[in-house]
Amino acid sequence: MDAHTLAQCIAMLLAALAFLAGFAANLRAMRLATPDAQPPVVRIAPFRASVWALIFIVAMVLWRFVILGRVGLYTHLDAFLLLSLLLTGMLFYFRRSQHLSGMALFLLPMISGVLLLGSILTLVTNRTFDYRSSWAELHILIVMAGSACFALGCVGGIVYLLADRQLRVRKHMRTDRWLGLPPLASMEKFNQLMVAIGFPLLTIACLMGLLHVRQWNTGIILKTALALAAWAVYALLLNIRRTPAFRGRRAAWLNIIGFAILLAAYIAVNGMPRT
Amino acid sequence: MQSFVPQPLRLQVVGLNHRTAPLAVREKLAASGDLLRHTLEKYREHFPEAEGVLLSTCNRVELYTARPLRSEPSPDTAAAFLAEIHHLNVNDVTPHLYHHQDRGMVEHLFSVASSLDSLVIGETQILSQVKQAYQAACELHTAGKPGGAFHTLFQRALAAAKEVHDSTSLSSGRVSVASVAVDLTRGVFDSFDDKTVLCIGAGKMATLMLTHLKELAPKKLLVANRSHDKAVALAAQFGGQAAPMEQLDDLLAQADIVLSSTGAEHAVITADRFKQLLKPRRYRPIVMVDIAVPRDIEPAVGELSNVYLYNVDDLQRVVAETHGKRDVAVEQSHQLLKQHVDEFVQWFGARDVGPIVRALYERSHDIAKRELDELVARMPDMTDEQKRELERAMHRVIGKILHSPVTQLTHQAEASARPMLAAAILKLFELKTMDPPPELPPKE
Repeated sequence: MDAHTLAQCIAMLLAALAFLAGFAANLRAMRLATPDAQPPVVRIAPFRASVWALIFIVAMVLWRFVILGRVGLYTHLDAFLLLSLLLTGMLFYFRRSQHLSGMALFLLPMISGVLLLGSILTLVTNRTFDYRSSWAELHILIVMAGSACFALGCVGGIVYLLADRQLRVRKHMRTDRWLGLPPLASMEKFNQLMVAIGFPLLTIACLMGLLHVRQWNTGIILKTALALAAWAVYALLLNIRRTPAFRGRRAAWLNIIGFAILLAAYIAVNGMPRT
Repeated sequence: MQSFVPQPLRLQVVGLNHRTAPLAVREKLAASGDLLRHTLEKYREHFPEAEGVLLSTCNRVELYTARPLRSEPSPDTAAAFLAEIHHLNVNDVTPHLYHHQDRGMVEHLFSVASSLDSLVIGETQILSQVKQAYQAACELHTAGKPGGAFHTLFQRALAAAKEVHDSTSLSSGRVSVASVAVDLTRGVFDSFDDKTVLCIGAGKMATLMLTHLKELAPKKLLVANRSHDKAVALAAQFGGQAAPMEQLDDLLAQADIVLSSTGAEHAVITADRFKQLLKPRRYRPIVMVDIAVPRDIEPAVGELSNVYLYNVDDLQRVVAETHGKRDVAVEQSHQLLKQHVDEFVQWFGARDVGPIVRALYERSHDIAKRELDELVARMPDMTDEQKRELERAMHRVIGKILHSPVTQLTHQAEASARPMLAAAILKLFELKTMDPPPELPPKE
């Protein structure tokens, strides 16, 4: 591993920890204050964090450009930078959204996690993607785009469960346990939208992956199985209108489980040493 | 002439409230409508010598009594009476009960009527509830004679409460139960132009809740009530439709928001009933606000999938939390109430022995007048000025002699000692009186 890559990994690690600490601090401040009494710094914290995240990620991309001479998906580092860039873009969207602004803060740990995972995977394996054709790069691009949707759905699922719990234990928005969470209906619609966008992307990515398998080995079989398992979960979620019993908390859990399976597929295979 | 020794009355209150009993216990003792009338009639049968007012709201059930010192109901008897009326074991109820007497009872009543004892300090509903309880007792003749101590007590409590609300900022800046319900609904739904609101019950609380829910501008409003006429009237007021209670299942299948405030004594919506409706509803989320006591909706309904159920305690707890810090207005209210309580307690203490004190002075002045007349007859040379001076001296002597015993009787003695002192004075001075106790002048 060259020095630049090592430095970038460390920078991503530190950035991830910084975002996580910022999230925890803001969460605590919000829980201790009522909406009317929240200081301005708490209210605009997610926006500030998103600006810093964007600046950091663009800086990392430029850094990679300087090293490689081009912008592209060359290693895990690039793939996860792309993913975190997509998620950071959503931070700005949430900020401007009427109903979903409360989700912005909860996206920070996801961005932290993506940066963390990217740096750790690179530190462990530092694997470059094995491109034989441009389809392979397109496959990675589509996987990341789909993963971004499912990551957002996962965050939406977690926030849904938090809000649901808050409503069920009768903790009202005006009490000192207010978290400023979006309405349940908004989150349910958002989660379904993410599945609706991500599922076709995942389907295309799976098909592209299957069509281009050169040799079936344990790693490929495991990755395919996990990807198909995630695909089945999202297929169920996509048809929630026909299976209303899976609305609400069950759908939220499925979003979380589906993303966890996808993540497991990526980590289990791409994190393993190539044989 | 018939001698009159007034029996001192013991004022007491026995009850439970939101601080001492959970909703599940309070709703078992709640009494409204026919049950309230029945309770007061039974009270009159059991305790003919005592006066009583039963105050039953969603946050408290209290039995106020004024009884002769050695008669019933004692606090234990009152507790047993309340339990018996509701077919409860008194041991299940007693741990949640409190009682106050004499000055403590007066302070408690004044605080209750002024909403200083409410879960939501500053709420104005309690004032009308106390008034209604007093009026019900008057109609059923359990509140004593007009102009009697109990009447005066309640009238003074209502007047004091009104003055507190008018003179202080206690009632301003409140968050209401209805506004909290709207906020909770906004936590579940992001838009309301496609939502259906179902209101079960057509009483005052339903009207209040609908007034706030109107700001959501739902697509449809349905009102169901036992009395179809009331449902029609309420629906017309808010641009909705009246629906028969018999179609409640269909209405629940359509509704996204349910407000329930009937006076039913048992749950109208049970968990078993609502479970059958989850599938027809396609598991759509629903917010149910149950402000009735006893509750209209079984708590188990709130455990079902995508059901968000709130009862009156949930809503009021939130309101109370937002009003935690209004110390200045609360302190002012307490000061104002203290003046009223002091005034009433002083009057009440003097009321019992007023006739005796008056008779004592009259007797003393009669004796002094006779002696003075005899003296004047024996001394014809006495000038008018000398007569007046002598008369004044006699009055001063009488005043000085009687000051100590009268003060002891009216201010210093405990209520339990007054009969003995009164009887002793009557006997020793051979007093007889038929005057009724004077009334406390009404407040303007």
